[in-house]
Amino acid sequence: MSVAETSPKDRLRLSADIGGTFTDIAGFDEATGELRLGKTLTTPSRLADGIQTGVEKAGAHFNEASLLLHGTTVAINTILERKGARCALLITQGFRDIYEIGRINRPEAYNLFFQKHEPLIERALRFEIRERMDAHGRVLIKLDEEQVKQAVAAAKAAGVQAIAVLFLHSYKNPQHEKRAKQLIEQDHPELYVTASHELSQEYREFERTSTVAANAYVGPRVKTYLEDLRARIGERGFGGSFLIVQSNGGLFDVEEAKRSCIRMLESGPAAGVIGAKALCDSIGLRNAIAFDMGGTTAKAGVIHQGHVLMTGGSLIGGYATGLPVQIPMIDIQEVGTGGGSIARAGPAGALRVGPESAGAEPGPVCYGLGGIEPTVTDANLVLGRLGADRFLGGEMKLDLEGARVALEQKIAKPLGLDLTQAADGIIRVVTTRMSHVVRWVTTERGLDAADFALIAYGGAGPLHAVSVAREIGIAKVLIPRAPGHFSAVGMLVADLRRDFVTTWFKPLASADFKELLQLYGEMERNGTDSVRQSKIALQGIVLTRYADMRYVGQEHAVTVELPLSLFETADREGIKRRFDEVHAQRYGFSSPDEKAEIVSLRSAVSGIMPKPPFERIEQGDAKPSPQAAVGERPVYFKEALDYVRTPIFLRSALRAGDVIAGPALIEEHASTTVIHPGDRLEVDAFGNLGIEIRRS
Amino acid sequence: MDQPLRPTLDSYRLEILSNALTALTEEIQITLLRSAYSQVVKEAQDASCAIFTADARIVAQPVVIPGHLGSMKFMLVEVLKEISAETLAPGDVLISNDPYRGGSHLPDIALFRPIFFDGRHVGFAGCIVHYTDVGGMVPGSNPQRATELYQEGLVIPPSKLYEAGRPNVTLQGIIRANVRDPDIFFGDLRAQEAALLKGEQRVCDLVRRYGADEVCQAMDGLIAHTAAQAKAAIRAIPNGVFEFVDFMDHDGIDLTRPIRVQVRIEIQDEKLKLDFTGTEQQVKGPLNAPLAKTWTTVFYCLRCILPDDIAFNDGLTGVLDIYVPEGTLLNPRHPAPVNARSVTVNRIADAVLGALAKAVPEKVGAQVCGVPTGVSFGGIDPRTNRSFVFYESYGGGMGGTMHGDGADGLSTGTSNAMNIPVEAIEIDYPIRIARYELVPDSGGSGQYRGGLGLLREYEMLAEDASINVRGDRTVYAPQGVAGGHDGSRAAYFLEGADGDKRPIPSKFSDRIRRGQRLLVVTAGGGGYGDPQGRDRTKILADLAEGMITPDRAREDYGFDASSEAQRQRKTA
Repeated sequence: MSVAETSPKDRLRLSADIGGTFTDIAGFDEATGELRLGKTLTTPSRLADGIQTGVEKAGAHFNEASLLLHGTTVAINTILERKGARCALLITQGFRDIYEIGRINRPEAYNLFFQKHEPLIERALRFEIRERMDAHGRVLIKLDEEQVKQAVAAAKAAGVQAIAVLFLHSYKNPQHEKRAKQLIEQDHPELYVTASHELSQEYREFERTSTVAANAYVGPRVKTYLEDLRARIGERGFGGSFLIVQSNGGLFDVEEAKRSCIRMLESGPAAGVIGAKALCDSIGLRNAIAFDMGGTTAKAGVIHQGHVLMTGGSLIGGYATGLPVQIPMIDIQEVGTGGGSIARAGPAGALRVGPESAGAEPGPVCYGLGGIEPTVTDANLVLGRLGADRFLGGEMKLDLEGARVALEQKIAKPLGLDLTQAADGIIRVVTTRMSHVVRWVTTERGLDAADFALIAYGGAGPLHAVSVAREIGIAKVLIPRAPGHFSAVGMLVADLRRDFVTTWFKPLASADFKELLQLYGEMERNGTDSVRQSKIALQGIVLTRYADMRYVGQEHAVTVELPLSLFETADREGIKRRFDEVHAQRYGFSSPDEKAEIVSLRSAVSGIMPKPPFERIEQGDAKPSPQAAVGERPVYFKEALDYVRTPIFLRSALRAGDVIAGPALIEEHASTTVIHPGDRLEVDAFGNLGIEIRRS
Repeated sequence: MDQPLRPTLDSYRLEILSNALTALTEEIQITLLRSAYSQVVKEAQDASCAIFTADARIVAQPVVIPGHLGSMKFMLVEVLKEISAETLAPGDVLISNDPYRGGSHLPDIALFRPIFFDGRHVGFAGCIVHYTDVGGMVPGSNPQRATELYQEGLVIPPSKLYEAGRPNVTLQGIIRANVRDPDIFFGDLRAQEAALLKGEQRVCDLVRRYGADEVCQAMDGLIAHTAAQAKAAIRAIPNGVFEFVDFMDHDGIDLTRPIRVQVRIEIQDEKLKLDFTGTEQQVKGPLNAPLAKTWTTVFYCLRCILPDDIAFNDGLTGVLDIYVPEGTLLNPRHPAPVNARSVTVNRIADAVLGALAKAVPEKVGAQVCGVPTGVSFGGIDPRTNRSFVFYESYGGGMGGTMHGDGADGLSTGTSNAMNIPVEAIEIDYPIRIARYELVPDSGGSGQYRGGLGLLREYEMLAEDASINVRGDRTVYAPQGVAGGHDGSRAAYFLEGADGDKRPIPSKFSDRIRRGQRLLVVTAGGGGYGDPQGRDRTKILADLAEGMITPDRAREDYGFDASSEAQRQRKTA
């Protein structure tokens, strides 16, 4: 079926982003060009019902849809909540403890009670198998097939649902892993079986073990979830293609998602960054930071020279005791500050905010749901940045007095501040903490945050974006349309994508280009086959090549994008120059005279989907219409050191070209944008709020 | 400026600027760690960055390796004794590695850059890196048989590496002529220079935004804040005197003579007074630790008993009085060799924490494995016919504590190195790892048991190579506390291709031939509390997971696995 067709039956493209608190639906009507949105509480036990409700709220029906794009926290929550399958691990003899041993450093160096990461597969279910490859992929010990069968029988007897396989050096030669998997599937088709080389072809046995174990652990549950969801939406009339968002921001087919569940860990946040990239493309912006602030965290990703910046892996469950997952994904950094973050007066006069969050329940004090700890949202309310009668379009009345009392007693008094100083202090502390994470994603790569625009979304993003931008020296902030649904909207503009990595240690000067091209070719063939499987009519396939490179003697490699043209002429000097440039940008120096080596080859294969165009809004003139101006209230601005009468505008009534000078508040259903004195807002043709930050 | 300047910074401005100073130091540190060349930096992250006030007090130092805490402070103070602060200019870079002028051992080279803004000297950026080789009698500059500093490598006294941006080519030439792999050496040096430049830029960004007065006040404020927190925490501990004595196996030369480390800690109001009288006289071999190492180790121990949210900076200095008699192991006289001081440093930590365990038993548990076991091989890789130098160090069990079991298989004490992936070793070196395992029964039994030690088995694939093991705890086991048993001792073996296996001492240098295997078994942590008090479900879990054997369960815990299973079957 082609999505380009616009028969009334299948003219709708739907996306569903299921988060911890809310399920967001976005629908794009290809016939009318209209974007429809729905937001509803997530229904943990019956997720399909939540999607159904959201779709109804968006005024849409499944039977009109040709495409359902889905992002979900089911995989990551299965790990964080430890609700996955009972699994076994088959591993090379002599190494069953590597999963437990890990990398042996203590992230909390001064904690004498430090406890390590907790493996997802218990030691008694990690079976050693006689087999061995060397680093060149040559067989030293043949796979003992009988032992594989015995181990699987023992694992079955212990009640496992899934089996992970990791053999040393399988990134170089996966023959033994493949054979073991085949043996298990032959005898036990009911088991979920996953082998490390299918997920990662990079060296580092602990990280690969952790990746394949995590896939086995979430596999049965995610597979059931996806099958169940597809059946349920099928019953409700959906007959189109069902695609899942991966952590790399690309889509993949649900059949593939069931095999590589671990690729969808961060699907919601990744979709937000993809949405930000599409926004950049639509207005010709090359450099932007995607800033997503919700109830408990703020996240930042980067678009640099038109590309989303990626990373080779991350830790699930935090820095100290997290479990590594070694797959390519969008590089998203996170800090524990959101609207619900709790403020505390610390010992010796310090003011701390987060990472504890009041969450949705009991929530901030002003929600009146039993929360007693003052939060960032309470501070915003006290300062007038949020309106007590206007939250969620007035659906939810906020308790201003409650917020004031809590801030007075828990923060202002202990610190000897007045109420306004206390509330402003909280905002300023979260602003700095978020500024660090925003700055971090750029400076870590040698980029200067000040050269980027800040695209802010998530429920709390627009409230804080201007302060964060000013703190870092960013001159331009963009608030997209529907910032509270932005991840769902981002899914609508995602492409199919597969990422591959192959470890290949070679000095650049003597690297065999024939072999190099063969390796890229293999990854590209796999990727192309994979994106074609989805049956979607694609506008094209784009191949991108990268190499992880370093100077001979260095350990850490940097990922360098290599234009295809460099390979046509086997241009070693060109590749070296690209690497020198990237190294200089990232670390402040390069060594053009020194030799470089290749560590890994990376390939990204994108199947380009037809995309909904961003909808243009009605053209106005510089002056907002009278319907847009809905009142005013006093708002505290630190620039003025006082409360300032601040006009309030309704976002839905703004037109393209409207200009508003700060201070001002722009209110919409799920979010409020704060414009500070001296800053200037202009609404662009697509309805984005473009804010120019005055240089302070 | 957003607000009129106040005589003291209010609480959130302090929080904001302290966050900013800490974050920028972390940023330059990551830059350094990622771009450095040294093997030791690459895998062990043996490098550190700090920001200092203009009068050489540490403001912020994010630390991966606890042994680096405060290490640069003493070097900067000594450097400024030789090169007066008044003579510094923008673009200067200072360098030193002298163990007898605030340093640690010769491979640890510190660089400092004065930070100027509009002609005003607002502070220093500094960083220290462990270099792979700084010359001397063996590759890696860690000769176990050294008897003088001169044999350990090139001593770089406090000097200007750059003067107002101009490189000191004479000094660079001397270095180039004295180190074994100048390309790698200067690669690391460039990484250090780049990190310092970045540090200067970031501090200047901050000054541009908040003003020099305010940034300098924030630096003072941070130090004062830490000092206040530290004093409050010490005051909360009852006054008293606590002593501890511990031993190292030997100095690698006289294998029969244990080496004593002794400390007496007096807690008096808000002060910790440490007296190391009774510690062994300085030794002939390289176990001696320069005086600064005692300070950095005590910083580490102090930091372990302070609240989690305390920032490390010069504010900790004020609560400490340290006395180490001159001419002893911990305050040797020039030119005693010092390259193996990391074993000694961990024994200092064991002794100090051992004494503190008596003062604050809720904060400190049983002893940890007690040494970062260093293994190195050097020779010719038959695959490439090039020379190779392999080095790694790894840990063992943590001690059981009042709050739970000690963690299994970790870098412990002042070391915090990562292990090198097995696949990476086999790609890069003519070495095969045959096994990498936890050692059952190695954790000391207790109500909360000690963590398990590690076993790693190396097979040499090169024809003939050097082998160097630097370990300890083969004679004196990590001690249990409050009735907990000791952890198991470390053991090291060489096994011939014919299967003949012989134990080797904990400090060992020799040759290893193709097909021979080195087996390293590290110590387990000590146990906490009477084993009889251990929760039965934990014993069962340990048995099911193979962390202890049925014999151990019966002997130490009086737990009969088979009758327990029978009993369970009956009740089920």
